[in-house]
Order: sequence, then C-alpha cells, then structure tokens
Amino acid sequence: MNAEAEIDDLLRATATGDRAAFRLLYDRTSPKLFGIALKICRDRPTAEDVLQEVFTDVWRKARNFDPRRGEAGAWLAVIARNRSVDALRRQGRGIIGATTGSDADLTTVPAPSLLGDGRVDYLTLIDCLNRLDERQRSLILRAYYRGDTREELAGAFDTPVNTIKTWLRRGLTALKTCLDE
Amino acid sequence: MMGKERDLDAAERALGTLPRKGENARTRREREAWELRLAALLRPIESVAPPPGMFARISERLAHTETCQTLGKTRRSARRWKGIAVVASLAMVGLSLALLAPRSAPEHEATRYVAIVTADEGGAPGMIVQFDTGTGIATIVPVIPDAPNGNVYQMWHVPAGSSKPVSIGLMPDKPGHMDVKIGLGDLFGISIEPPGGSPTGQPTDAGWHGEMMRIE
Repeated sequence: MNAEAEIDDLLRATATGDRAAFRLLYDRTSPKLFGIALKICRDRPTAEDVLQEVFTDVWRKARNFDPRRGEAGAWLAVIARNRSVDALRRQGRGIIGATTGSDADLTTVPAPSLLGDGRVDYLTLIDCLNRLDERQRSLILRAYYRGDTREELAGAFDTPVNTIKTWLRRGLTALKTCLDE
Repeated sequence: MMGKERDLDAAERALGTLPRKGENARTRREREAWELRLAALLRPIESVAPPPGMFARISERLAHTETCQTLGKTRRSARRWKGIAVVASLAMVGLSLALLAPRSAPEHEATRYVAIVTADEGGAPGMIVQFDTGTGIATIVPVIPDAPNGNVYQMWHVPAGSSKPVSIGLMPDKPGHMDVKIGLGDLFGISIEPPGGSPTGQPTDAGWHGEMMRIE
C-alpha cells in the first residue's frame, strides 16, 4: 500500500473512533504537519500548540473527510495551514510580520525540484502560479503562507485595499482558468 | 453553475483574505474545494519531527474535552441535532457546588454561567449566553456581524432530554433577555437562515459551538 493510501485508511479508521489508527496517523503525518506549522508560525512553542489543535481537530472531524474530494494528506495539511494562520492572527503578529522582509521563501513559488514527488496536480498549480503576473502571484502566496489580510497586503504593497482586492481576484480568476484548462 | 463572484469569495476565504465566519454548508464546501486546490503549496514544506511527548499532550487534551462533553451530554445531542453547532450544557457539578456553598442569604445566592458560542473555525464568538441561577434569567449578548448575503442568524434551544431544536428567534441586534426556560443539560446553537428564518422550522445549517463555563 502506498503512503497516501495508508494515510487515507488511517484517517477513515480514526473517524470510527479507532484510537490505535489515530496514533499511527499521528506517527505518519505529524512531522509533515509540524513542518507546516513551524514554517508558517516561525515560532516553535506556537507551532507545538498548533499541532495539538490540529490533531484535536483531526480526531473530532475525521468523519468529515471525503476521499472523493481530495487526498487525506491534503485534507490534513489544510487543517495545519489554517490553524497556523489562526494562531498568527490570534497573536496579532500581522502588524509586525507584514513589515519584516526576511521571509522571501514564503512569498516565492517553490522550485519544482523541491517537490518531493512529481504529482501532476502539484506541478500544474506551480506552473499556473508561475504564469500569473508577478504582483498577483506574490499577493496570493503572501496570503497563503503568511496569512496576510487584505489590509496587511495593502500596507506591504503600499496600495489601497480596494486595489489589492482587485489584484487578488484577478490573480485567482487567472489561476482558476489555468487550472481548469 | 456557481457565479464567478461567489467562487472568488470562496477562493478568498480559502486564502484568508475574507473571513470564514458566516459560511453555510454550501459556501463551506466551495471554500474547501479551493483549500484542496491550494494545498499543493504545502507539499514542498519540509517535515520536522515534533517533540517527544506531543502525542501524550494531545491525548490528554482529548480526554479533557470528552469529559466535558459527557457531562453536558453535548455529543449525543449534537449528533441527533444533525450537526448543528451546540453550546455545552449547564454542568450539574457546578450547580451542586453552588447549593453547598455557605452564604448568608441562600434565597439570593446565585451561580452564574456563561456560554461563549464560537464559530466552528477561527474561534470568533457569535453570541454569549449568560445565565444566573439566582434570578433564573438568561441573557443573550450578540457579538456577531450581520449575516452575509441578506441572510439572518437564528438561535436554537434544545431542552435536556429532547432531540428537537426549538427556535428561540432571530438573533437580536442588542443584548436582551431570552424567553426560554433553561435547565440542566440544555443546548444552544446558531444557524444561518434565509430572511425570515428557517422555512422548515428546523436549523438548516450551523457554524457555531462553544462551551458553558461557570464563572462564579
């Protein structure tokens, strides 16, 4: 059984209240999810709190996972990303974080070589992001990896919020069009 | 076919540049579709081993949560309530302690509870229910922005032992007393409904939950 199928099975078993499966799921996926939390939160204690929240969510919401809509690994990663962004916002980091410039790696498209595998959907997303106007791409990536709000993006780009909204939505429209091709 | 603007709203909620609060079942699914699309961006992030003992901390946290839920019978009722967000019930333990507490004027002695009903994701509060056992008065404090797209918020109450939510009205603009008898094991929830409230008399969607805490 491949790793993705195993995670899928473990998540479904977790949904039935199987604690042994939940433990195995933790063992298999927590390094990846902790990596996501650390990358976004950029603070170890916060990332540890986030990881606890993530697995509390997973235990409670495992039955919401629908394999027809996506892979278990992606479903888990989304929870980790959203919880990380929530934690950043709770801490009110936006004001400080938006003005520090040492996180270029969070606002640029990862090189395809960094992708652990060559899955077509991932490569397609990267390819579509690369086709966007640089400004649109940067906005989307900042919002995604750093949890920047429209207001924070407006500050970072020294641009009115309404313009940010327009750029963001143009970028997302182009991204959707590219992904649907 | 979904409108372009609605799809872009879903995309922005997935990014986090629009709030997730106020979603209904349909718009939540639309946002989740974008989240799964964008999840590819998480693929290149390197794994890092979490500290040892983390799973034990998670287990403790879950055990604590489940104890609270069992006390309030929240889980069982929540399942019957087809997933509506629910506020934890009054805890019998808390009331017993209040009765035992030595006070000079027992007829006025009171235990106060507060239920903070929060959004399913993001933790932003939707309403606060205060209950005073001394006066028997329950007060609702709405802390929620207007419902999106002309919809309304509707409040629900499930008396202990019942499985059927009863509407206690649309969310008021200002804090006010609730016309409802509160008892042990009662549940509360908020749903998003079309103008005028649920056409079926039952909640059609829910995105808020919380827990009742004893405050004095």
